[in-house]
Amino acid sequence: MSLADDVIDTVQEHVIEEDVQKDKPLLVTDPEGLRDVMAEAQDAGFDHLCFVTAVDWPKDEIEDNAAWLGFTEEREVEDPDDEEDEDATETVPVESKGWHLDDVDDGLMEVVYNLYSYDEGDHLAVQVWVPREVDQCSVPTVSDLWAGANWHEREVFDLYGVTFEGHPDMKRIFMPEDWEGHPHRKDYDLGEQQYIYREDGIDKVTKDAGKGW
Amino acid sequence: MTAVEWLTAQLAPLVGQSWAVLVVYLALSAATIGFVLAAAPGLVWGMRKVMGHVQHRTGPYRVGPFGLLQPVADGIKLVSKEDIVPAGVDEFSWKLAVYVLPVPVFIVFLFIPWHPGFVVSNVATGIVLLLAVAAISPVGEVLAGWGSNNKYSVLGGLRAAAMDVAYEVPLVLAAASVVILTGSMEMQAIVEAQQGVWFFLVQPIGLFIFLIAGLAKIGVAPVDLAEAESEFVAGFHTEYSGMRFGLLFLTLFANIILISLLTSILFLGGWQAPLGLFDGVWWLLAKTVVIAVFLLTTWFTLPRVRVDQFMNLGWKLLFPLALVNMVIAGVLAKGGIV
Amino acid sequence: MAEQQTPSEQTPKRRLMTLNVGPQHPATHGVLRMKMLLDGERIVDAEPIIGYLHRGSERLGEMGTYLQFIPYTDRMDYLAAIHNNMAFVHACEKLADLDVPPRANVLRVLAQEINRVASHLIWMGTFGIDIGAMTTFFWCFRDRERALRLLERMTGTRLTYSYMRFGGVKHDVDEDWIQDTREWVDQVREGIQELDDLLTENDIFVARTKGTGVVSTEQAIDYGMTGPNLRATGKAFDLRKEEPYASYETYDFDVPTSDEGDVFARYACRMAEIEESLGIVEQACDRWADAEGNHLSREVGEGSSQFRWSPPEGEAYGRIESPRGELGCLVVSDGSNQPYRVKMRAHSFSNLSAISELARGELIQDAIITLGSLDIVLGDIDR
Repeated sequence: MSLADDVIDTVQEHVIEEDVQKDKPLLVTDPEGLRDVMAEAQDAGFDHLCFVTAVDWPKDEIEDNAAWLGFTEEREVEDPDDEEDEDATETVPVESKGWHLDDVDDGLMEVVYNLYSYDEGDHLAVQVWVPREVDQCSVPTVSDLWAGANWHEREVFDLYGVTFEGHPDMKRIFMPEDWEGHPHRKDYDLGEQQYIYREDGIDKVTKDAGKGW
Repeated sequence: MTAVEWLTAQLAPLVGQSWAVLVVYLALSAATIGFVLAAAPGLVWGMRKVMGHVQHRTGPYRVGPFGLLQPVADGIKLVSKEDIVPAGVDEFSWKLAVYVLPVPVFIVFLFIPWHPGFVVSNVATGIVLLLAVAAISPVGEVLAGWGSNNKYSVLGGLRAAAMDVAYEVPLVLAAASVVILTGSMEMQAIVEAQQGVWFFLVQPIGLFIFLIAGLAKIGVAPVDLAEAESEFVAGFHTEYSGMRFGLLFLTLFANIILISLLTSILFLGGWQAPLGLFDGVWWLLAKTVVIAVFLLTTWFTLPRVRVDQFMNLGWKLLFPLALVNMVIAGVLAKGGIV
Repeated sequence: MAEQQTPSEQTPKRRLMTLNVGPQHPATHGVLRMKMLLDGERIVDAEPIIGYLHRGSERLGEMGTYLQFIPYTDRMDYLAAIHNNMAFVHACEKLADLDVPPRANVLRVLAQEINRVASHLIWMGTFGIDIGAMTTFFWCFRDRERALRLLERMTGTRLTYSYMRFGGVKHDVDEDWIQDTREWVDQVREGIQELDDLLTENDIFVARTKGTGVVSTEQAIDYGMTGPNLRATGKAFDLRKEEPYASYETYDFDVPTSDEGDVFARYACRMAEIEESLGIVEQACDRWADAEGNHLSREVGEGSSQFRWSPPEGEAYGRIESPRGELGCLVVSDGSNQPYRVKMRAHSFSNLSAISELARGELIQDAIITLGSLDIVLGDIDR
């Protein structure tokens, strides 16, 4: 039995979905269970956190990709109206990643963690799906479990606007402090320019091209 | 009769004794400093060539034959640059530092015994006066560092001053051992005392201490702590540009020439020829070039030491060692071995 | 009641100085800014500030086709561009279960190992500058220049190669190139020997680097440090051995490690790795003539079919061993010809995040060589 199965067995109550993603097991959990899952995984021997990142799924994108993401399912039509077409199928929404497509307002944010065990050579991908609205988009931090997560979480916050609760230093890492928007989000307006200028020794952001550079 | 006395005697009947002394001294001083001013760019060229060959390159070769005119081109560039005074500098000390640093170094060359019977200013306390004048440099370094209104400059200037103070002591003690052996502080007497036996044979420790302390005084790698470019950008001369930078650069090379000259005079017999053949200034210059190339090669070969390691070396190793060396010199002198 | 004095008021006050090292500074290897709080020359606190080179490459990747993202990867870790190409292509091939012909794998190994040597040489050179030994810089650049000439003949460019293609590489090399590569291997061996003579037993170098910037294995794993930085702590972990790609499992090489975890250990590790890489290059040169297949998989083909190629829907993480550590790429595909999301797992990003802890309490000089020894590339950190 692999290390990943151990972890999945131990934290069974937090596992929303388990899958195999290419060569590695995938575990989907919810924000409440994330810390338990990660702590358990670390205890079990997943000592290397490769990265933390996010994938932005606005609602229309989820609808376009619903089939392979598992939000819809092809089912045989139980009572075909047309008696001749016995194999007719219909697309029905099903719950996936802890979400039902009808419950999703704006879209979802997929936060991905990739764990690796140096001793066993096992991978484990952990996913959390949270609403993508900036005020609701938050997951607990794991930066106290892995010091390396600190910067990765700041990067995700900066580029995707995911807040990591309990993070000691939750501020932007690449962009200037008062930059508007989170540039890697799908709905970020790439046409709008923002400029940096310096006032009282602090970098500030403006949309006035004449004022900044 | 020395060369200076002879020249004065020739001139005295024409303009009177006191005018003759003034004219001769002024002319000789100007000639000596002019020689150093010409030699320093020469050394810059030499430095670039040595550096080039150490680093598997050719060095300058485009400007003039063998790139000999490269320093001239550099000089024209530096002179023609805009004179920038950065905002916020303490103008008085910042500008003063550019004179405090080079002037003592150039004055020192007046005490150098170039040739049998020729030294511009043959004072009885030659070596002590020479080292005392040369020891003014920390003042300039701190002035430049503090005046620049730049944190890198302050740190660099303080490091430079700390280093100079720490290494001035072994430098003077190593020179003092030579004085003990000679029994005179006069520069010519020191060279003449090496008739037969050059002092590096009886004072190898002294030579070693003098070279390391001299390297610290020059302040180039492996001990370029004051201007460590990967740490303090350029140390106390970060904010200088144009000819002000040129003057500081010139000081560096005048210092290299000075340390090489002093090493040759104190330990390698100055103008004394090996086997006693054809004594003269050419031997002094040849020895100086050898020492200078040695210093340059050291510069380009070794990594930089850490500041605390280097201070420890100075105070904990070289200082006691220099004292022991003085005792050895005393025993040798008393025993009449030298 | 008298006001209680805090300890800092009782003792004479020490004035601390804030020093901004960078974004333009010779020791920061790019546009990194270190905000240091100094007590004299000792660092009380150091905070790295990054982002000056952030170009949003990952977002740009979502706006072009898969093939169009390859040139962007070049510009992340520009000292090891081949490895960045490889990481992205590797992830895509993993997602599409695409097989690579043996000949293409030999070419990939050749390109990667030559690039690894070039990258380690440039590290050695710039580290020499950090520690004040300017000569190593020129010696290393001489050998690196020869490596770049080989890569230029192989790929067509000196620095931003874009050599990898889905299912293979851009084009094959010829017999002359193989001969010149063999000569180059001997030249680099000589150059490495010279460097070894100059530095490894140099008292000043050893005094500066031994015991400086010590990282324990636990610390390294905690911060996600990989590559030579991890191996210098005694952990023999190399993705070429543990998760072989490009048929690295068929090559004979060792994973050099040191136990001390200090700056000297990292230096020793990289020097030993150059030697191993040269060995791999020689083996690959031997295999090239007889390697089967084409330089590109027939499944994908050349030209516009490369441009149209895209993996099926799904998510995959592929990672490779670059000169700086684990370089990974997460690709999310929605089945269209544009990636839905590409994430590069930047090795320097994780390696640098430890610098605050390493620099605290050190002298500026030590912090600077520790920073240099981590071998960071800012293009990779900021992306």
